[in-house]
Amino acid sequence: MPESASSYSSSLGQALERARAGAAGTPVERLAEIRAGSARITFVARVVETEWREVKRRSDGGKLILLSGLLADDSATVRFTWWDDPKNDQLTKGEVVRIRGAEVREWQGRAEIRLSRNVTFERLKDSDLPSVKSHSTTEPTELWRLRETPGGFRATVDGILTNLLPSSGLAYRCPSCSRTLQASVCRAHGKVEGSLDLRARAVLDDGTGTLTAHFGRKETEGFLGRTLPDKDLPQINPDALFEELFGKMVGRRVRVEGRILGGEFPSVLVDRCQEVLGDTRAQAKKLLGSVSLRGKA
Amino acid sequence: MTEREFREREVAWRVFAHEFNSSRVEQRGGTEGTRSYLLSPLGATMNRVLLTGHLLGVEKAGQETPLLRTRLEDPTGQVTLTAGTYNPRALAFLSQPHPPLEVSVIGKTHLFVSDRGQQYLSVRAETFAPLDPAEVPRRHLETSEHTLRRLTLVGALEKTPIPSREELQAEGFPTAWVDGVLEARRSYPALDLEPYRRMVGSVLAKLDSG
Repeated sequence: MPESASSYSSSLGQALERARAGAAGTPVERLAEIRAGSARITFVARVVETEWREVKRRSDGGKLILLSGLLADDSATVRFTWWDDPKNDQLTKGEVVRIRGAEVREWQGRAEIRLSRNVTFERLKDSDLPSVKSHSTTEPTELWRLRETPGGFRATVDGILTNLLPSSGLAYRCPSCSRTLQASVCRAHGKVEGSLDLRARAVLDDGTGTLTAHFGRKETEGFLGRTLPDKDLPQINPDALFEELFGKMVGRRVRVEGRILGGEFPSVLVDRCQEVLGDTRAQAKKLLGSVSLRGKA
Repeated sequence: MTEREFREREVAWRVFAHEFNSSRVEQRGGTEGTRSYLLSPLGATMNRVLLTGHLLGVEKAGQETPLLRTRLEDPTGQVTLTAGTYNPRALAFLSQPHPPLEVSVIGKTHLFVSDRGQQYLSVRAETFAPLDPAEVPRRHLETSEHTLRRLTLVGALEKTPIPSREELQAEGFPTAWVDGVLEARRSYPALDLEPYRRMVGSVLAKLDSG
């Protein structure tokens, strides 16, 4: 990024805030510079997103409520999670907070901030940190932009499903942690009696890039056009189900919404899925007015 | 080609028959196992394509092994499609007594050069997806949008000084498209864009009149 007046004043603002926080004792970190393994760091960030999530505890299958989301300063956007007794009264979307005593862990190859009850929050009034709007995810994101994404945020993406991956259809899950089993073996719990579930993994392609889309049971049943009760799952022929899913999914144009998981092959955990319709005539008319059609004057 | 590029999934380029059939250049990796790409005059670097249109009759092409050939017609021209034993799903689709006719096809580009130097372009179909007739114009709109963006990009790269990849990225042009257009400028010197503008213009005019 070229050095410009605005980035200069913004980094000056950061430096001032750092100096102010520094008066309290600890240096203030910029999010682009945090490293996994650091303990008790202090930083200033805008709360870009918060989300309450319910997860199954890997060890005993118990339910756990956690708070997660995104924090951003002018250098980076980083995921956070809060597992022990989370409270969101100091983490209001859009506000800027100074956070002291956070830890940095590594999750899926990326730094992630861990908040806990030992962390202190201080709401800051004015800040020149980028607004939440600049992190907005409501417009569909083109897939080439997600090529090497760190993931950890929600996004809406459009595309055509161009393939169905072999792991689609029936899957056995570990009764304690919900991981899918490989030949009745759970990665964490060894050989277990699995319970049957329905899922689909498909390639979403928008002509600029591709993304693996994970569809849960509800969305998969949506493509099938019927629900499959638990008691019927054991009687289903997996190959026939796969072929049916292939025929009903591949080639369909969809808009999906969900959490983006980063990594070498990014994917989306779909929680909303719909057909893309749109007014073809109106859009065609709009494109007809485009400059590129007219050529050189 | 790096390991990562080699493992990366190939995107299905949205192109019209006319742009596909105007492609004359193949980029092939030197070593075994690397992929080949058909480079279009507008910089589409196609290993895989998605075409939408109407199927025109199926014929047998193979002597010993089953190989079927068909043609797909879109508003700009026709593309030859083949399906053989390597694509059992596509083969089964075309083997039906009355396959659905309005389709999107996803497949791999193939360029065959005869002993006399004649080039034959085709798509080796991987998957056929039958479409509701109402969906066909939406897909032609999508292909029009993508083609128009490539045309805009070709125009942007004719300016001096040439904008950087970062600037073009900020304007919403995928990096791979920028690289493709830069390559196409070398491979198709003095390209006349007018036929491509007319092509997209006539597709859009048809979509606009319903």
